[in-house]
This record gives sequence, structure tokens and C-alpha cells, in this order.
Amino acid sequence: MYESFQIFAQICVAILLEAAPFLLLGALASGLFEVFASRDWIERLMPRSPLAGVLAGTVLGLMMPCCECGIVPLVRRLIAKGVPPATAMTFMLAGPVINPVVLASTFVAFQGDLTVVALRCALVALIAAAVGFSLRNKSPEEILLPAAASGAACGCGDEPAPAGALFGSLADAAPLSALKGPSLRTRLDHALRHAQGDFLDMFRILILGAMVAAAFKTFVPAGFVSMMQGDLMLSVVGMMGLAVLLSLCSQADAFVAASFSGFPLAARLAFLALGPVLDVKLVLMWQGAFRYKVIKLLALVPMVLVFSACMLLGAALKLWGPQ
Amino acid sequence: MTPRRLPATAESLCLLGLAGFMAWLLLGGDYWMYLNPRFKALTWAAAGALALLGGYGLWRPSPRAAWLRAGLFAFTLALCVVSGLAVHEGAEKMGAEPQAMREAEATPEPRVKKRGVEYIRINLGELYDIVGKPQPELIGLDYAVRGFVRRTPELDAEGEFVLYRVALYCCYADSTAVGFRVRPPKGGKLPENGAWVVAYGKLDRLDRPKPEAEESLGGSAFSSVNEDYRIAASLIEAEKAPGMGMMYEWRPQEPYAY
Repeated sequence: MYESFQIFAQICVAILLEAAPFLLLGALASGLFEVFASRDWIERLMPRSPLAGVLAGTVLGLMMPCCECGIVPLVRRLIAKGVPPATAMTFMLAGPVINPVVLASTFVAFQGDLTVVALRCALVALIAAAVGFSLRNKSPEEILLPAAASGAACGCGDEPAPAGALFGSLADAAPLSALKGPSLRTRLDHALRHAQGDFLDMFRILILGAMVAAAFKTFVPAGFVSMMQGDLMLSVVGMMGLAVLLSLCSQADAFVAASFSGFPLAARLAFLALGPVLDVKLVLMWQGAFRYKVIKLLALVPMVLVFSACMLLGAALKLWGPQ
Repeated sequence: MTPRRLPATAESLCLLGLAGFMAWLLLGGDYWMYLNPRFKALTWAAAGALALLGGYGLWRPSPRAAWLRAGLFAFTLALCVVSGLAVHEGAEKMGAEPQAMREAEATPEPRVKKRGVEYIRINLGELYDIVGKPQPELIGLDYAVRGFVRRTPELDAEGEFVLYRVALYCCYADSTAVGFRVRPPKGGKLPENGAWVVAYGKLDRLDRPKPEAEESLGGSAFSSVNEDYRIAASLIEAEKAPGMGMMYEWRPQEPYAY
């Protein structure tokens, strides 16, 4: 039993060590964004039409590579700062996959098979666009938890705002140009304050997610995985379940998916498409940021789309393709 | 100290402890048991950022700090200590020696000659790729692969063992054990379970797939033994485990990562 606990501890710590830099980066980016990106600047920059916003959110990851752990605090901040929900939520789901790092790792893991890379991108883009489009008319208050929307992660709302402070709240709607700016030192202090709040808030959830994933990896009975691979529906559902439970980083999951060589391509695609947009640690992280209705949407849309698309692909390959 | 400041201080101390643990891993040599060494720079940066946040938290305590959260962070730190202490034991099970990592392993020659035959040094992952995308010109060559031995009563009865090596892509949680059945040369003894060996030989296509050789290794829920090929060894040599026992790199052609 102690041996299993040791393995559990090693896996849990490994996941945290792997994810911590990205979470820190996300929290830091989020803090800097909060302080240095004014709301009117963002409003000018973002596309007005929901369709253009969804398209922008899908490809934003190509310029801002971000993993699924680091992107949650950033997106929370983006929405609170006035980025249209359609764009921000699309970016949150598409960014961890449609970015150069993950595209390259998928390409390498599948030995240069561009079909897998293209299918993964297409399915994730479809999920992200569907979620983004369905949230196009929502306000930040309808998406974010009250605490998240008012900057409670950093606790700024709990303290009296210092005289002349501009960055005390995520709900800050005052155009920066209208106010006298504080010194760079004060801005950096605020950025660090926000980063601290975001990181501590999300790190707690990441720890819980890592524990669940580590427990699954440590205690899953031998042979359980291989039992699933014979049947298309069982393998697709099984791989979807595994993706959710294992909570792997999108930069690494392609290698794990590739190692399931006995599984049909459709099942491996289900693993590749679902893992980065829905897993245990993400659900826990979302609970610290989004309202229940949004979380329900974030969980249901990917499950339905991945299951339907992969079953169709599996059936098509069985009928016409080389299996 | 106000009641709110106390958990905030505890949280900050935990962050500093975590930063210290990262630095200890990076300096102490056990890093490779958790993460692929190519992430070292990233972990150094994370350790620095955590130390910064920890120090900042001591100066400006987080107003949202709570004992429950501080307790979770402290438990995480305890997990770090437990895993750190267990790493040596785990490495031994995989046949690797954490301490050996400090001794820089000289890059071996891409080929080695034994008893007049020239063998291509390759790692089990690379060999797995070769048989995965059948390349007839590469199947019939002589290869030298290394790994740790796993024996079971069923394999013993067939006079074979599995040669495994753990592939670590990003972190230990993503690791996959990759293996081939090995048939020792005629009259050759089966090596000890857990021993590190180099097997010299050719790939030999199995008459029928043999998935029953698969097993789960501690920590690597995913282990995969090739079902279509085994290695027909002409020579098996005991070897000291390489500094870092896992595979971190796969090359499509010579010189292979070995």
C-alpha cells in the first residue's frame, strides 16, 4: 500500500511540476494583462461580429501558445476586461490545441501523419466554435462567477482602493486615458498582486486535479485499458473517459494517444480532441471561474460532438477505410 | 500577526518550499524521474517565479488565504518529500540508478561489433517505430537494444523474457513502458528479473500476435509489448543501467538515440 502511495505521490508531483510553469505563465500574463491592457484598447481591437470573433478565437492560439491550465485565468481576465465571450471562450478551448507546440507534438507522435493533426484541429475547432457561438450574446456577468468577475481571486476587492489606483478591480470599466496613470512600480505591484491571486486560486484546483489523475494512474487495474479496444463504441467511450480522468497536458497527450496502438483511429482521436477541452482538472478550475450553466455547456458540447464525430469516423473507416 | 495573515504566511512558505524542492531536483540529479530533462530551463524559471510569489506573499499576504488552502499546499509539499524519498527505490525497480545521472554518459558509437557482427545501436522506442511502419529494408538488420528484464512464469515456459524501457515524453504521468519479447540464443540462460541487459540480434516476426505478454508496470499504466515481432538474440550482455534509465528521444534514422 505504501508503495502505491509512493507512486501516487511521484505521479502527482510530476503533473504539478509539468503544469506549474504554464500556470505561472498564465497567471503572470493575466496579471500584466489586467494592469497594462485597458478596456477601451481591447474593445477597439476585438472584432464586433460574433462570427469574426469565433474565427479570431480559433486561431489566436497560433500567436499566443497556451496550455489548458494557464489559459483559464487568462480567459477569465479577458472576459472581465471586455473581450467578447464568443472570442474568449473559443480561444480557451481551441488555444491549447491549435498552437504551434501542440501541432508539432501531434505530428511527431503520429510519425508525420498529417491526417491525425488535421482531424484533431478540425474537431477541436468545431467544439470551440460551437461553444463560443452559443455564448455570443452573454455578458461577462452571465459567464463569470461574481467573485471572478470582481477580481476576488487577487483579493483586490477586499481592500480599500488606494488613492489614484486604477487597477483594483476586474470590473474596472474606466477608460485609462481618462485618468492620471500611476507609476510603473505601482502598476507592477498590482500586476503581481493579480498574478498571486490567480495563481493561488488555480493552483489549489490543479492540485486536486493532479491527485485525481494520479490516483487513476496508480490504482487502475491492469488490463482494464486493453479490454476496451476491441469494440468501436466501447473504445471511443473508454478513450473519452480516459481523457477526462487522466487530465494530461495537451502538449503530451498525443504521445500517450499514439501509444494506444491497438485502438482504432476514431478512439484515439476522441482522446486527442476531448482531453484538452474537458478533463477533471479543467472542470475543477472552471468551478473557480465560471457559472454552473457555462460549465454545463463546456462539458456537454465537447462530449456530444466528440462522441458523434468519432463514431461517424469510426463507422466510415470500418466501411471504406483501411483499418 | 492577524488571524488572516497566518494562513497567508503558511501558503507563502509552502510556495517557497515548492520552489526549493524544484531547485533540489534540478541540482540533485533526480529531475529526470519526474520530467523530461529538456524542460529543465522551464522548471528553473518556474522555481524562480514560485520563489518570487512566495517572497511577495510574505511581504503582501494574500487576502484570500485560508487554512484549508494552506493545508492543501502543505500536503502537496509532503507529497514532494514522499516522492523524493521514493525515487531511488522506484529507479531501482526500473533498473536505473539516479545517482549515475551525475556521471555524464559518453555518447556511444552508433554501431558496435560483437563476434564479428556489426549491430546498430537503437532504443526500444525507435525499434517499435520501425516495426510500426513496416520498412522492409530496416526489419532484417542487426540491432543492439538495452532495457530492463521482466519475466513471468508464462514467458519462462516459452524460454523468453520481455525487454522493457520506459518512454518519458513530458512527465512521469505520461510515461509508457515499451517492450519486445526476447528469445535468448540457444543454450543461453534467461537473465534475472529487473536486470539491465543489452540484447544483440534480429527482429523475428511472430506467427501469431501475442498480446498476453502485456503487463502493467508501477506508475506506467500504459505498457506495450510488441505483438508482431520479437528479438531473436544472438548475444545478451549484462550492462550497468544508463545514467537516466528512461527514453526521452526517438530518432527516425541513424545515429539513433539508443
